This record gives sequence, structure tokens and C-alpha cells, in this order.
Amino acid sequence: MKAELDEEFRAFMHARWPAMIRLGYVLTGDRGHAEEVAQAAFANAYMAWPRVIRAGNPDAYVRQIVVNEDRNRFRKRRVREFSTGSPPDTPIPGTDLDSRTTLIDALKVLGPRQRAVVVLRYWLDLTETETAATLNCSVGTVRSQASRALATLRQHIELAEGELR
Amino acid sequence: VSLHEQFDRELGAISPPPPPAPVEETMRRGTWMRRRRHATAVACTAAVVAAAIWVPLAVHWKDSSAPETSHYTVTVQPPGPTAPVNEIAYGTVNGKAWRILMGKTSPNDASFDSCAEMLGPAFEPEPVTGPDTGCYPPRGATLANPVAFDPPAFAVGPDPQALGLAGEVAANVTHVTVTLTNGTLLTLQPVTVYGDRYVAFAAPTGAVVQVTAYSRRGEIARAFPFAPDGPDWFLDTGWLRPGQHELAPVTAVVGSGRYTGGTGLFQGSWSVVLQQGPWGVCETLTGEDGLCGPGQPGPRRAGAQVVYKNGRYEICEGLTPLDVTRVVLTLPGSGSVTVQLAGGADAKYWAFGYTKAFSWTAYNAADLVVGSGRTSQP
Repeated sequence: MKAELDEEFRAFMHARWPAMIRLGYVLTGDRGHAEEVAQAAFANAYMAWPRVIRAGNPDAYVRQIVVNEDRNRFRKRRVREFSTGSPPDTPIPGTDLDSRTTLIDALKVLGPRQRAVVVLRYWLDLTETETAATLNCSVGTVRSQASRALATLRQHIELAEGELR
Repeated sequence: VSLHEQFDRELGAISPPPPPAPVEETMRRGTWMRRRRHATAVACTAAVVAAAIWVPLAVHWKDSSAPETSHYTVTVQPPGPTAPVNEIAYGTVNGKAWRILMGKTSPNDASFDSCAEMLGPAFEPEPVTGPDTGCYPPRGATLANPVAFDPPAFAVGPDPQALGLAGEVAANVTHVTVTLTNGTLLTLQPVTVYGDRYVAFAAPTGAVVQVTAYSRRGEIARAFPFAPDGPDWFLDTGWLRPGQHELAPVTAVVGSGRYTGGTGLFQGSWSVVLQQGPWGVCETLTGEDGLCGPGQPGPRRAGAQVVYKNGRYEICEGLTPLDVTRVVLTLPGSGSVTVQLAGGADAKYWAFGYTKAFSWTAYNAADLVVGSGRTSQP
């Protein structure tokens, strides 16, 4: 039985690892952090794997932990980061890196929850109900957070008309 | 261009393919987390097993700043007559309301039913629920550990205001008191929810000084926060009986090295740090949870256990009686090394990272062997 469960977990993690890394990357803006967050999420899922399987939606479970891990990461590192007089990294003139990363950069101005709402709703295309379940909040909160988040994003990047659904 | 297309375009442009999934390492990590939760130590020596009881304890990050002022107010009340059946307690922190319930109200599914849910403006900007790393059943209360607190859950956001804690209480506990830095004494009344008895409270981060459990006969035991990065954590294994003295604070490096082949959190250098204080004795591996024990003096036998494993790289933590003066490791093909020992109140500790099995021998001041063992091949 355990061997079967382990095999099931292996197959699940192999299949969903790239997607969770991308989710972690969009949420954190950092590849290293994305791997940390995704691995912690899968480890948590494995720890409770029989329970997760019984619940019937392991993808939602891991996704929720990735989102929570990101929010925790933001909190955990809050006191360990410090400001410097000038940004440590500056764009390289002549490249289009800045334009290519506009949206992901713009996400960084949002708080963890609003960022998660934008990513879940507009990238993963979750419904408002699914987004609310992932974030453990009400549908109304999802709507209001999405509205505020898009308004903030519009100050930084150009969004298509009618994006707010 | 829709946001969805913009996400896809940017991710496709800047993201190199993700590395292969570290499945086996993740499963080991999950197993280790579960093992710590269930207080099962894996002996890495067949010859001698550590006699000390190392009980797993998740050490989550704490806000490193205690309240800057004692001008805060905290109240706690048992559920009122119209409260939900799963409510443990409610109250206020600085006038902001909070409620703590035990699971089963989550809209998600049955897999999340063991979480303590912390709701209300005191936990703003976001309530603390869901299957994050701090969400486990607050269970395991015994006569020796009268209150089993869940790992602390904090308000999420840039300015956490309140710490919420829920814990199962042993059958003989009539009430629990919480002493805060401003002198406030909270009294918690156990509440039965779904057949188990719990207490819960909320307070500003860093405000908790001591928790004391009482029976009808008086004080059962007291516990103090374990503070690796900050002030708020309870050491379930460190409950002190009336008359037992608190341990003097000691911090020491038990061992250090570099991960080989690690990914994610397990990269670069590692260290195991011993932190002793009123909470007991804890050894914490870099960036990970701690192994904690009450740290009370008593007879100890030399032993060792694996605390990290990734492929052929393992970290082994050893424990010896206090009279041991040196521990020598015999490495295959590399001679021998003497490891540093970090002394706690109850024992001395060492840690070593390795890819090949080795044997260890502990000597006392008279150069007599007081313990030895051999690791298994990673």
C-alpha cells in the first residue's frame, strides 16, 4: 500500500513540478525562492499524502501550500532584508529585458495576497470560488482584492480593456 | 494582450526550463517532517541508541521584536452560549477582536479539518488558516506535557499584530494561565471541541513570558517560549514541574559543514546550533526544524541519529554523557577526526556530515571508552 502511494506521489510530483515552479516564480519573482517554495509544498503534501489523495484534489492542495508558503516567505524574510542606498541590480542598456519582465516586475508592487489573486485568477484561470478556496477567503474578498490589484497594476503597465472580469 | 497571454509570454521568455523534480529528496524531507512530528527518532547506530528523549518540534519563524511597549491590552473569553460548536476562545488584542476555532469550518475539504482557525481583525490583514506549514493538529497533551500547543500561527503581512495559539490540554488540567510582558495574566478555560479539550489565546507577538497549567491540586507545570529567532514558541517537552529549576541560557554550534548534492533549502553550508534555556535544550539544523528535549540532567548513554539525508549525503547528530571529553570519528580511508562537542545541561552534542559510513567512539577524561557506534552506509 505504501509503495503504491509513494509511486503515486512520484508520478504526481514529476508531472506537476514544472507548473508549481512557474507558479512559485510568478509569485516570488525569483527562481531560487520558487524552487524552495515548491519543494516545501510537495514535502508537505507527501507528509499528508494519504489524506491529500482522499481529499481528491492534490493539485489544489499543493497549489494552496505554494501560495501560503509564498505569503509566509514574505513574512519570514521581512526582518532579514535591508535597504541599500542604491538598487543592487540595474538594467543593462540596450536590452529589452525590462520590457519583457514588465508584468512580473509589476507584480512585486502588490502585496502577497493581491499578487496571489492576480496569479490565480488571471494566469491559472481559477474561478472566483476556486481562488477564494485557495486563499481561504470569501468570493467578495477575491473580487475586491482583484479590483485593487488591477488598479495598481494599471499604474505600472498597460492592461487590456475588460481584463477585470 | 490578456494578462494570461502576457504571463505566458513573459514566463516563456525569461524562464529556463525548471530543473528535474527532486522527488526522492522531497519525499525524504516529507518523511523527516512527519517523523519529527511523530517523535520517532531514527538511530543511525545499531550498537547504541540515544537514551535521551528527543521530541520533534517545529520551529517556525518568529517575529524577532518583542513589543516595544507594555501599553497593549489583551483579553480572552471562553465561547459564549451562541458561539459555534467548534469555537475555543475569543477576545481582543489592542481592542481588535479575534476568534479561534478548531477546523471543520473550512470551505475547502476534509483534509484541512485539523487546523486551528484564527479569525478576526486582530489577525488582519489576513486570517490564518489553511494547510501551511504551521497547520497541524494541536494534539499530544499528556500528564507530563499538560498542554500541546500547535505551532504558532501569525497574522500574515508586513506588520503582524497578533500571535494566535491553540493547544490540546491533558485530562487533569483545570485551567491554564499565560503571563505577558506587561504583567497581564490571562486565564484560559479548556473547551471541549469534537471530543478533545483545547485552550487558545492571542497576544501581540513577543508578549508571552510563561504558560502555566493547573489541576485541581495546584500547579502542574510551567513552560517558556523557545526563541531561536524571536520570542514566541512553546516547548512542549520543556514543561518544568514545581521546584524544577530553569536552565541557564547557552548557545553553541554543535557542528557545521556543506551540503553535497542538495537543492532548494538544502544548499551551501549547514550548521546545527544548540540553544538551551528555560525551554529546555534544542538543536536546530540551519533553516529547518529543531529537535528539542527537556534538558534535565540525568543518566545518558552515548548515541546518534540521522537528522538529514539526501542521496548519499547525511548529517548525523550525536549525544554523549556529560563526562565525555572527546568523540573520535574513524572515516574510511581518511583516518580519524575529533569532533567538537557542545555542552548542554543534560548532555554533550556533536554533528557531522558524511557520504560514507563511519564509526565513532566517545571517551571520558580517563580515556576510557564510554560509548561507540557505526553509521549505516548512506
